[in-house]
Amino acid sequence: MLEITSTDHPEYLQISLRGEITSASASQLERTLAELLAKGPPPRWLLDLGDLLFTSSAGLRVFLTFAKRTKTAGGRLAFCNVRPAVAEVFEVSGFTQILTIAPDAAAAAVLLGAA
Amino acid sequence: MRPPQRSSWVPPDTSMVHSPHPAGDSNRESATRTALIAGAIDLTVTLGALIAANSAVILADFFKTLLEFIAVLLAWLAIRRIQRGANHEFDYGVGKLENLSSLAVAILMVSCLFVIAINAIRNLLHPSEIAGIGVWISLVSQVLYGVINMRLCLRSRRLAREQNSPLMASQAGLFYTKVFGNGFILVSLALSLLLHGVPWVHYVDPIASLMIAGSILLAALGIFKASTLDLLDRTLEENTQIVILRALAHHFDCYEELHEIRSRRSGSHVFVEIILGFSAAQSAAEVQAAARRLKAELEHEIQGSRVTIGIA
Repeated sequence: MLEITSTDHPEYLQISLRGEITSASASQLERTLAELLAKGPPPRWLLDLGDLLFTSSAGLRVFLTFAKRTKTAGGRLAFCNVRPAVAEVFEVSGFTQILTIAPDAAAAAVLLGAA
Repeated sequence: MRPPQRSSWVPPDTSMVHSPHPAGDSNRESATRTALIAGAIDLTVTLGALIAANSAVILADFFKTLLEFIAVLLAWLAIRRIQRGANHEFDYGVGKLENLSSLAVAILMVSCLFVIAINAIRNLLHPSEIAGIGVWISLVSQVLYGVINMRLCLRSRRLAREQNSPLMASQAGLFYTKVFGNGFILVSLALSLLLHGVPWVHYVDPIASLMIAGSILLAALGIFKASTLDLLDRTLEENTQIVILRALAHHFDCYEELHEIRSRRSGSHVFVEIILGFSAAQSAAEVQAAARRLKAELEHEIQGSRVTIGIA
């Protein structure tokens, strides 16, 4: 089960994920992100993973695709509040080398140049 | 120098094309051939014991040995077919033959389970005393084949680990159950002979048989699940997916878009297809070089893999 909520901030769009990203829910996340991106990409995106308990490789694939698309669109993307279980998957898959990861939303806003 | 052709229509290098481990395939054929010879001798000895004894446990052992021999024979035939290589009718190789063979092994194991279970129930309902020279033949053969099966089990397990082969994994599982069966039949027969006259000793054999049946059921279910899912082209397991994503993260700046990742397993071979988008500013040579680097890294990281990088 995965809940996706988006919150508009003046300088960036915050997307909060709650639950687990499995091979079944990954397509839901992929669709939602693609729709948000299609609306006209905001220059800055913040993915809050504070309530994300688990991600499978399917979730990582969505994050990788989204990171590529925002970069190509000239946007900026940061992740925050990553739980230890998800952080470990990011570390093992080498995603910590390519993604911008902050401890919390405020720090992520600074990294996005929005604070 | 090219090896001599077996027939005019078989390209001499097909085994090299379809198997990244030609030497490994040869080892597997050798291991399975040894198992086949050992199985044939085991079957003959068990038949001799069966004829010379009135033991229902030995009868069950004979059926079990016969089914195991058929399973090894199927595996050997599958490996020989793969060794000969595929022709143009099988562009992706004949690796699925390994999965089909493993599936057949699982079905045979379930058949074996039924024979043992029915026999055990009959012995529980009508307890009888075992006797005859065949019991002693069986005792000696259980010790001898217990040692041989243990060695074959360890060898198959090592080859399965080294070559990532589901067929050798199923063979290792099969030999493990054989060792387990040898031990149980040995203990069962020994107790029946040593505790001759004790009323409850008649129940030792059927209970031991049911425990053997339980272990066979577990092994058969594991093989059945793995082979069926691979035949249905299930994507690769999570740890291999992570390896693919790690390589894509490593080459993050070399491509512009990740369109698709597809993967499947065919026998001991792994197929990965990645569709990437590249910037129009990149030259064809740069794109080719990036795709080649990613392919090389993945084929190095994932044993037995054939990686295709598609350019969108």
